[in-house]
Amino acid sequence: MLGYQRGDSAATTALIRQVSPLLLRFFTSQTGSRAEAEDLLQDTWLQIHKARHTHRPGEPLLPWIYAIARHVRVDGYRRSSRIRSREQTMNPLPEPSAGVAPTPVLDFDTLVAVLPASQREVVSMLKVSGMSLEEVARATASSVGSVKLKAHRAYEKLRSVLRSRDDVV
Amino acid sequence: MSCDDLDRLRAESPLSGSSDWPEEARRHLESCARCARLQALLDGPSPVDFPESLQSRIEAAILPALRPVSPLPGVWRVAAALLLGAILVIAAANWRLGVEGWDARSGVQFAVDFSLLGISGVALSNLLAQQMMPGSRYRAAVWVWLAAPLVALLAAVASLYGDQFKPDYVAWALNCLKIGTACAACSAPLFWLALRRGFSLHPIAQGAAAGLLAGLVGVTVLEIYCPYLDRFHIFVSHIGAAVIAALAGAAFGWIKNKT
Repeated sequence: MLGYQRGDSAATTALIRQVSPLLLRFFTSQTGSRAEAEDLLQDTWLQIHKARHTHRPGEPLLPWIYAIARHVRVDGYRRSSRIRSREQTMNPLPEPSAGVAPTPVLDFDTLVAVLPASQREVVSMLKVSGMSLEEVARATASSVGSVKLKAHRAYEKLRSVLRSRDDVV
Repeated sequence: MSCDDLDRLRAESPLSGSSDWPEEARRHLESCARCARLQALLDGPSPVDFPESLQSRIEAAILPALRPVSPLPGVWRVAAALLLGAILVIAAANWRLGVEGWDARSGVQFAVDFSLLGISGVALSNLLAQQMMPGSRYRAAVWVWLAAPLVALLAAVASLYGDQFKPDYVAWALNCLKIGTACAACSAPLFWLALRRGFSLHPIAQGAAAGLLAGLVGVTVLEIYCPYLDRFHIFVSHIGAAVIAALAGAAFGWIKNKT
């Protein structure tokens, strides 16, 4: 990060290469759409670039990056909600097929998709990005206790999802 | 150990894998298929492929505009700059207006009022300096930072001051409100100078906090200047100036957020 602030292009390239896959994974689990996640990733880097002087040396880097990423995601969500509210569906939606839809293969993204956004982002930061409770608390501007509570509720909910899937199967 | 206990363990120690867990947790994982499945899904989120073209696009957007930047100064340097600005405005305003209020107060009133104003000023300056960096350490919700100084001041004034009716109450009230808001308005540009390089994730809350700090400058000037020690006068005209400044700061943050 110091190299990035000094204008060192090799350090900047290394930082982008190191952080971007984590951010892309985070955005993919948050939005469920790869294309949207790539757009958000690029927007995030533009914001990080604009705000690169705001990282104080000695402070942890991931909470700083994720706080900006979270800000970009919320902004993106508001923007897309505004656009969706003005859109009109021109063609009627196709009828759903009569057969039983196959149950999607369960992976991390489909599992966390059922969680509310605040719990989903906490679980993603903890499990995808490997951040500590303190780092997640900093990134989400909340207390460590609140992060623990959200994580605990998320795990309870995920267990109940697995139970209902097992019941269906 | 129950499934719920295991959820609690996961939440308490998110970084440790199931291999680091206590014996009874591992026994539960072996006996409970659902918990084991959940743990496997949480332990191994599949890595995402990161295409070289995306890396190139990001580099193309950033590297041409890459210039050296100086990082933000430390929290205490920014906080000291804010406090220096506040002291300058207070000194200049009271040099012009006088110090009758200082002389009129008893020792206890003086000590409590100025201690509260000092502590609130230092705490708010520190909060604002910290919040310039996204992802800074969380202390408490911003509304707590905003409400605490005002509630403490209101409680102190209610308990330390009595009722002193004056026939020209309204004229005194308007005069003090005018002076308080004018001092807040004078300190606002100085605070903006100190805070302008920050990246504001919550512009409304941060605007309100900066406005409140400017408002506390106005309150301090009035506490030194105004000899009218009626509690309702202090509520409305002194502390009221701080509330107006905080609302103006929040409005400024809202406009900044919209644009």
